Amino acid sequence: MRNVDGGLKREVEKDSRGALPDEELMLRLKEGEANCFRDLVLRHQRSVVNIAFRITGDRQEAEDIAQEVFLRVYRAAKGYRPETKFSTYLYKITLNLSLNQIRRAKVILTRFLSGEQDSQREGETSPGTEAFTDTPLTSMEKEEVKKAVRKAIRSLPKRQRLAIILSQYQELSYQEISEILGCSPKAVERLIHRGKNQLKKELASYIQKK
Amino acid sequence: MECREIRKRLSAYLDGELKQGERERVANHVTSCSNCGRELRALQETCSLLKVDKGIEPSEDFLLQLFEKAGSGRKGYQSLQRARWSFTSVPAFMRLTIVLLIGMAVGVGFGSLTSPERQGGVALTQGRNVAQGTALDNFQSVHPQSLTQAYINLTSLLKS
Repeated sequence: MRNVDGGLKREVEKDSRGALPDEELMLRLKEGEANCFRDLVLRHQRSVVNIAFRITGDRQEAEDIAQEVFLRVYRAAKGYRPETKFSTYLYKITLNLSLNQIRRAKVILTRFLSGEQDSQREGETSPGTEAFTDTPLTSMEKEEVKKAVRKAIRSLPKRQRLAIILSQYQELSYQEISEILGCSPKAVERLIHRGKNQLKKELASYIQKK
Repeated sequence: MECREIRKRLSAYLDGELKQGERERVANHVTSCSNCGRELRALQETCSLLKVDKGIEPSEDFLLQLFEKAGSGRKGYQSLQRARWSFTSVPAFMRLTIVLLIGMAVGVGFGSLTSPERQGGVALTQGRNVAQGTALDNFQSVHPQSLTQAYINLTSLLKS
């Protein structure tokens, strides 16, 4: 979770090796330094795969989408201009491709149905109303919570889901999210507010248990 | 009325998106209003639950697959394939180590080629040792004034 005192995790993109910023790498790629592309992929592959995974709910689809995202970045490098933050540009492509994929394959319905089946199975096997203690979650409990969280996120309306993913997992600011979603920061705040309230209801049993 | 307004801002408060004045207003309210305080804690716990899901790791061959896809496309992508294993893709300290190792290998190879053993063989070295070992005998066996004779004896021994 982000620091309430404003110490938000929004630092300039630079990797653990202290290499060049993304925008500089893109400019160098534009000039023909193909290795910069490799660095960009290594730096962002996890984020891109996970955004796609949280939207589609399928690992293989997520990896395919992520690869298409990076190929598009490479193709567009010649015309790249560092007007916006590279991650904003990258996540925008990721969201668009992920949503296109969902539309194309009509996986929303599939996921929704399989999610219902999953929840029925989970309901049968999970400890249900047993109270959690204050001890840390065991790996089994974590696995159960993880499933519930993924299901809850997938049940959110599309724009709420995107805003929650970008805010809670990518830790982007409302301003950055507004640029990606093409709306105002205030609208992002509303989306996140509704999204969190919905998640709170969906995950109520786990919150009470804790 | 205030509670309703405050609750709308709780998510932004938790995400650190409020300006200082608003932040203080929310902070003061949630400490004095138990309902809003409870609401804030529930939202905090919801966010904590979300963090339980750490996501997935890309498969190990993600980059390889990407380059393969890229390589099967336009010609321009072939440069990516080349870049994959190029020297410049290796970190600087590793590049330095490689250069040093190559330098050492060349030095050792060159040294062994120019060494006396390589040139004259082991036999010559052994012969020299024998000659040096017997040199004193030559001096002892001649007359003290016959230094020339001792020199001649030594050189003839080395030649043989």
